[in-house]
Amino acid sequence: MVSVFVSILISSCNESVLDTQSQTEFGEESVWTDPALAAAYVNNIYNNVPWGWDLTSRKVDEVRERAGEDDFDVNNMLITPDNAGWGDWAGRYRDIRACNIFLENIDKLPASTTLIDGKTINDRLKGEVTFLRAWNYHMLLSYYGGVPLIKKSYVLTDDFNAPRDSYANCVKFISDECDLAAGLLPLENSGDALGRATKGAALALKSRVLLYAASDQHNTDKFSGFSNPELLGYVGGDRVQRWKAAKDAAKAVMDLGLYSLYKPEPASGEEATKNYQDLFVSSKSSEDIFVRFFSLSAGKGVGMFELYPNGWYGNGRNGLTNEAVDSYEMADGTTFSRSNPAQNLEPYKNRDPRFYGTVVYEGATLRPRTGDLAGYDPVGVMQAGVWEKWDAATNSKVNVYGLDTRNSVANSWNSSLTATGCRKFLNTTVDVSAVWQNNADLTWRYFRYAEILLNYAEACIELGEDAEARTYIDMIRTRAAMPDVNESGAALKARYRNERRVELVLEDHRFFDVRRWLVGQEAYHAMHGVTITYKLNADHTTATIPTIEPVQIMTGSWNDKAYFFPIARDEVNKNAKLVQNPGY
Amino acid sequence: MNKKLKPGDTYAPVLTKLSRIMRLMILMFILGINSLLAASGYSQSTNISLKMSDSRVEDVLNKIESKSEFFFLFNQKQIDINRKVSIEANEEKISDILDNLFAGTDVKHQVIDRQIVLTTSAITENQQQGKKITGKVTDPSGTSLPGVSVVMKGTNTGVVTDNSGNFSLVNIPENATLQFSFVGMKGQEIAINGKSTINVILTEEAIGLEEVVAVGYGTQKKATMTGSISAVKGESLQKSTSTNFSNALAGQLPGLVVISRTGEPGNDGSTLRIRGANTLGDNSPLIVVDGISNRSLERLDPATIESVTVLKDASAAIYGAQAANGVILVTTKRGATGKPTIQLSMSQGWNTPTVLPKMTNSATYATLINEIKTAAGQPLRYTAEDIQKYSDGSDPWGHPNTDWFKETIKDNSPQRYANLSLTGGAEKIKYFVSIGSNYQDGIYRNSATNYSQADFRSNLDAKISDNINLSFDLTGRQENRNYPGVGGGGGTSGGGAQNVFWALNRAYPYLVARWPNGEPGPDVEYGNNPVVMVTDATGYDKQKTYVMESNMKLVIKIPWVKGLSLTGNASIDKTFMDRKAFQKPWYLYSWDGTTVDANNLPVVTPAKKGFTDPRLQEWMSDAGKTTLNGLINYERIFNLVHSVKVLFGTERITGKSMDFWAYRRFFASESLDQMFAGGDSQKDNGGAGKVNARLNYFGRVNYAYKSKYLAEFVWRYDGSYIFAPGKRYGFFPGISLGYRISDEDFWKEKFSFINEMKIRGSWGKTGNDLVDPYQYMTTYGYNSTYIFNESVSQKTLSALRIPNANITWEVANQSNIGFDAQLLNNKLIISADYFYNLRTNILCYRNASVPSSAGLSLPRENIGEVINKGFEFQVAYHNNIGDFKYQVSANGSFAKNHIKFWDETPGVPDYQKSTGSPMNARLYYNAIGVFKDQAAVDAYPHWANARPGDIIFEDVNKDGSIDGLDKVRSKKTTIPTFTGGFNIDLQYKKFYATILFQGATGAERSYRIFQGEAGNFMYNEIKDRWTPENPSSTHPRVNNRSLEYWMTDGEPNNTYYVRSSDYLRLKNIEIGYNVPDNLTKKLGLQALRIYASGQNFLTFTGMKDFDPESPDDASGSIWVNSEVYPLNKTTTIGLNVTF
Repeated sequence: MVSVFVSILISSCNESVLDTQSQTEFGEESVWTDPALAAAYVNNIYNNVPWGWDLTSRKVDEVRERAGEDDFDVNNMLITPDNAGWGDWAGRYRDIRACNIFLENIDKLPASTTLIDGKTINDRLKGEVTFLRAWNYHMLLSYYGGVPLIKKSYVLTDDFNAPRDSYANCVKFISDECDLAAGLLPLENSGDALGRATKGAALALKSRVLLYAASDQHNTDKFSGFSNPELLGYVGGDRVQRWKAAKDAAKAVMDLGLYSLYKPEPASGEEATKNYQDLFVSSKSSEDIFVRFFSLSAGKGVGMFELYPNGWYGNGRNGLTNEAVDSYEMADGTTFSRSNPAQNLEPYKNRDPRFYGTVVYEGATLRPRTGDLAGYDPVGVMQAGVWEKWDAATNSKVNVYGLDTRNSVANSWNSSLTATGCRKFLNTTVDVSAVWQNNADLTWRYFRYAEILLNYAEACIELGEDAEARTYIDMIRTRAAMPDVNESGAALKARYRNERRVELVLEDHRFFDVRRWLVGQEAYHAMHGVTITYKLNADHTTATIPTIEPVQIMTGSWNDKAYFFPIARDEVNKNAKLVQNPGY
Repeated sequence: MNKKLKPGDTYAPVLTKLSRIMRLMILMFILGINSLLAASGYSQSTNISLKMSDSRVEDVLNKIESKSEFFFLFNQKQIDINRKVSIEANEEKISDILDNLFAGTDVKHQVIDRQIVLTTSAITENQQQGKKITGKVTDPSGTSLPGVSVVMKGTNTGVVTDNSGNFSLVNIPENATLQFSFVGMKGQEIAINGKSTINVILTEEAIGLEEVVAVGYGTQKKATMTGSISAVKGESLQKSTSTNFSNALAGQLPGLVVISRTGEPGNDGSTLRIRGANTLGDNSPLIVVDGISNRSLERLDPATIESVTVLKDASAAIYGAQAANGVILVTTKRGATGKPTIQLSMSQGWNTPTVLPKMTNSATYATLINEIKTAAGQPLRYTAEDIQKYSDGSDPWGHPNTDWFKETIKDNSPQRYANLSLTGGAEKIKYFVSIGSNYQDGIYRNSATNYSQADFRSNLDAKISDNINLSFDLTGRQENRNYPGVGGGGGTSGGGAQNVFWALNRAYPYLVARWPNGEPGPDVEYGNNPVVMVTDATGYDKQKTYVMESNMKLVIKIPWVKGLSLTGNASIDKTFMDRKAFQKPWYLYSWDGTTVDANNLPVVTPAKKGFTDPRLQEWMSDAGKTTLNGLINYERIFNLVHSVKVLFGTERITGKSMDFWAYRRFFASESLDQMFAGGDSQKDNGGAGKVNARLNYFGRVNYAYKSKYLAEFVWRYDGSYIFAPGKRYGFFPGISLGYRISDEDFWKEKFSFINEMKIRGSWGKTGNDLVDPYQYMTTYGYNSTYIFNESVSQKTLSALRIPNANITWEVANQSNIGFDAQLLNNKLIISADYFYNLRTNILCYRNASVPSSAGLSLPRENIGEVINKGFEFQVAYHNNIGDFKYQVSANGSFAKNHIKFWDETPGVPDYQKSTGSPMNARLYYNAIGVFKDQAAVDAYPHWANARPGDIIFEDVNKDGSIDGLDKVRSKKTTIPTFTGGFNIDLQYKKFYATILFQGATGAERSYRIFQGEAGNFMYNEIKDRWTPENPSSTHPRVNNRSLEYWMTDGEPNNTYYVRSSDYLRLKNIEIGYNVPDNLTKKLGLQALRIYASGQNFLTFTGMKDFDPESPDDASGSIWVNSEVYPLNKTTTIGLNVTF
């Protein structure tokens, strides 16, 4: 008995018992020999590309969050290397490393001659990663100026200190990579490849990067005395060529002939509004160049509750500021002004049709309220105002607060301070009251055709080709049922800039546009919303048209240092070769 | 250890050269060793076979000694050892054999466990010159004590008491003094003074030096132990009424830091730290239950616990790579020879929170919001009339004033405990069998939260033959954790109990909790009305955990080698978990403020909250662990003075686990909560498996010279699956030395008031491998999904890490010196330790110095070094004044760590460096007051938009501006540096009281909630606030959530919101009564005890609104900070019956 027991024990003490395998992970060799795993690896890089209701819109004069605490610092120029979260330097370089690893290993994949949408899997994946790396560098470049161009995956023994490359070199690198990717990528994707980068995506990125590169921000010495101006922009050289390159890049996308504006010729303003709304809740459209799908049925939806006003039990996160609201023209193409008494009295009347597709405003019909609130509002109309009513019983004035106010019976804390809500992207078929998880499908559009047309128009204007520019601006306006423009020169430029601001609002553009146009001062100041009061008339009835008065909701200021963002203090400490941006 | 006596001596003949005291000491020592090995009743359970013819008596006795553990004590002058005898015995009891052997002589024998004393009556007759003394020796309860040594002082004359405790001595001079001594009892000397009858009561040693303490893979006698080891008996721990055994350890063991974080039923385990924190990695100690490592102690039934031992220093090295954080050994009760004893324990308790935050009422809330609005230049939200109505309650539905904590939490919530155990044994088999159950309700009204448990344990010891013992232990339990669909347990999409307390802290006082018709009122957001969240209206989340632990132990004595035995253990532990969360929509009701019914009560309308439709998620997991080990034990005393114990062992541990989950929604009906009944859209499932393996060799050598000079060496050669081939094994030695200086003659002469003094020292190297496995490999893992083609989900794969082929264990270098002393006739006991732990090879990331532009997510590397040093002490004093007995003891431990080295970002100013600071110390701005007025703002560097009433951040680097460089590394962390306990035991006749105070100092925690428009205010935070009328220079103005630079979501950025969490609390108090024997006899019981007890009854702390032990980072949510299910204050009544 003893010996049996002992021998069992001793034989069990075989050291091979320690040779266990992970049950949840793949070894390196399996990934780079299996196209399916390699593709899954690329999927992860896609997945890390940021998207969201607020990429940058709360950090410029488009919207303010219900409280604003998250964006207070950047809007008040409290930007320091100690709170340098903007631009996600670390996240972008993490993804660049993932791209570098892929590009170093992709050739280990077995060669394939099978063509999918005209390209082999190896070429496609290589093209996608080349595009994604360029995208990540574009993001870095937009926040920081020239950054270290890291083109290989470091190993532990490498010297990690890397200097920033010049702005010009970075632009050239990204532009060249876009060309390379464009050559590898298919024109169009079919089936389950839909959503992967295409040639159009690579060319659209090139268009945006070259447009930015030609802009004032990188062609003006705003920081005299800064030791390394080449990090922030071009030092000398031919700016006209840059605009031409930008124009050509936009044209290259247009010349693909694959994209068109969604429903370009509406019959009426109402139809234009509807089209504009539909575009951002449709899953696919003719404008899509590079998009990201979210699907509830596939287990990956988005949370619409963040956008809904509190009176629909949403979080009311994106309230459009007066500054944004006021940028919309009147439907006849004239400028809106609060000093115009009629316009001030009814500011939401007769505006650019896109306004109604972008903003939930006092009196706008959104969707029916939930049962408990239907008694207050059977139709489903935004109530951001207060009704002064006469209480005969007590012979006094009482305030009745709307459902979407801070005094609402419904989730008062989530009321927007601007008294407006966000209509763009909002799927009005979704009841968010009971669901605070993800609850809607969404297609997030990183590149859509309208941007390319506007990029093209901007380059044309800068090159003095006003007529050409107007053609494309008017295409955008026609789709919005807005009258054509007829200005030229500086006036056209101003008109164009407003057009871009309106058309692309909340799509991660204005934050960068105000920087590259060097108009920070215009965009960063105290932000306003409105107070809405249905006043008590002398006869103790309540007014049906509210008194709408601007009110400051948040402070704001501008400092030129904010044209570029600081590199985190730790990062500068760790990398002796890094030069900090001016002003930090 | 057997000792054969030589002719010519009386008791221990070889000892004649030694002083008499020494002789007694050695006798005691021998007795002690024997008692160590003895399960009681050795003589009854030992049968011997003999066949000898024509042999000398001495040879027969030698033979018996060699075939058993018996040894003989006799006076050769009295016993004729040369008499020739023939004897044949077949599996006979020793007493029968001796009866036979000495038949016809006057030799009597007394068998006292392993000692056999041979006497003759001849001595009394032949040599009678003096007096005859008789008497009886008993213990304080009157039980007779057999085997007590009674020796005439200064002579070799003596006897041992018989089975009835009686002794008889003859030929004793009138002026003689008798010395009484017995293992585990305090010795006594009594002068005869002419008396002929002397009855003696021996009392137990205060803390028995003879006490045996569980150590790694064995036991040791406390007296000769050289490691830093604390132990506590199960009975002390049973005073705690917590349903979680980990909480019972608080204040009981010096060196063990016990922090109770939350009282949520089922989730209320304490954080256990031995000597504080030692590593930047995982600081969890190794838990060993009945010799099997990596078991859990939290849900053990306290009634089944024999003892808990903590190995704090090199003595833990026998556990090698898992020992660096110390080891907690739990030993459960076993059977004992005797008639079956049935014990029934029952108690009923009532829980109530130790503390709840005091929130502001509606009127104050409205006033504060108006202050916020004024400061922001926005219109006021409340009119004076509103505030008046809130304050006078004249409009209860339109202007309510709700105390949400009161609405949600009931006055007391029950808990129950019952245990029935059966203990007993006979010659061949001994048993301890126990069944138990407990139940703990949540503190909420209509609570869906509760925990219940049913458990059993069966510990059997069988004697298969003289040399083979087999033990079989089996324990099982079912743990039931029940929580609401949201707001309990944690882990479901609804969040844990933190969410409830988050909602409670936020809930506006002006919202109605329940309408007159009983329906719940509105939420702040997300449907989070706490009175509903805590009920089953939101669905349920039920977790059932089944634990089955078994061990088969075989001990084989090798008959042909004295002192050698082999032990084998085979243990299989299994844990199954089955969890089902069925979440469903709930309804909240709102009132339009005007519509009323006939009784003038509000008419309210419902709204669906939480989910649009029911959803079900189920999890199952199955984890198993097999432990096989084999031990070789050798134990001998050579020449009576060299005690040697050797242990060698090998152990293999393998584990395997799997889990599986599934999810569906779109249930057509709430009434069928089964997976199949859900819809097909969005259904999902997942699962994974894990394996682990360890293999190791270990050993221990103890040497003691005259039990005075003590030495121990332990080691382990440990192999772990976690590391790369070639890096898997490590060697972990530990050495300790002890010196019982009180055994020296000079000590006895000069320091006789110190009865016992032992000096100890140890050094060891232990490991910690609590890190993720396979870090030596490049691996890729799925981590999310990405959608293509509108709705096609594809996997995403990423490189998990850069491999570190050299990854290995953390190494703890542990040094310890200490002493154990007993003074004042052993009434005062003191022990103290100083330790110095240097933890090296700590696995940490080198990311701090690697720029993020490298994009690397670096692997952990063995680069960190932490020093942790401190001391512990324990002092106990016991005495009695007549019938009043008392014992007081205090223990305390101080441990402070700092990081000696790890990767730190270059260029960080010294006052921000984490190196040199305690681990996990945070960076804060120093809050040095509040800007009283604009002049104060202008006079000091400040944040860009600072205003009067804002917190002043210190300009630490004096550069005239406040920025990140002004943050300072805190000196404190959330782990206390000093913890201690103070125990008082009182007994007066049949009454007793036990009081345990426990406290901790040196820790801090952050302190804040979501307040302002986003939630209610804590009264204590706003009562002294800055206002324009009452400008304070110490308390800031009221703030709106995180809209101030000095108020952030998540962790505070400045020291104003960091408070000391020092506390002293009355942890346990128990008052009980032992019903007198005459009454219990009438009831047919052996004993009956009734008691009342209280837990966490009083807490002295500066922390106002939260329990000082509760964590400040209660959950993963960045929003939730201070909100946590509070600790319980428990009142209990109970009874213990022995049948």
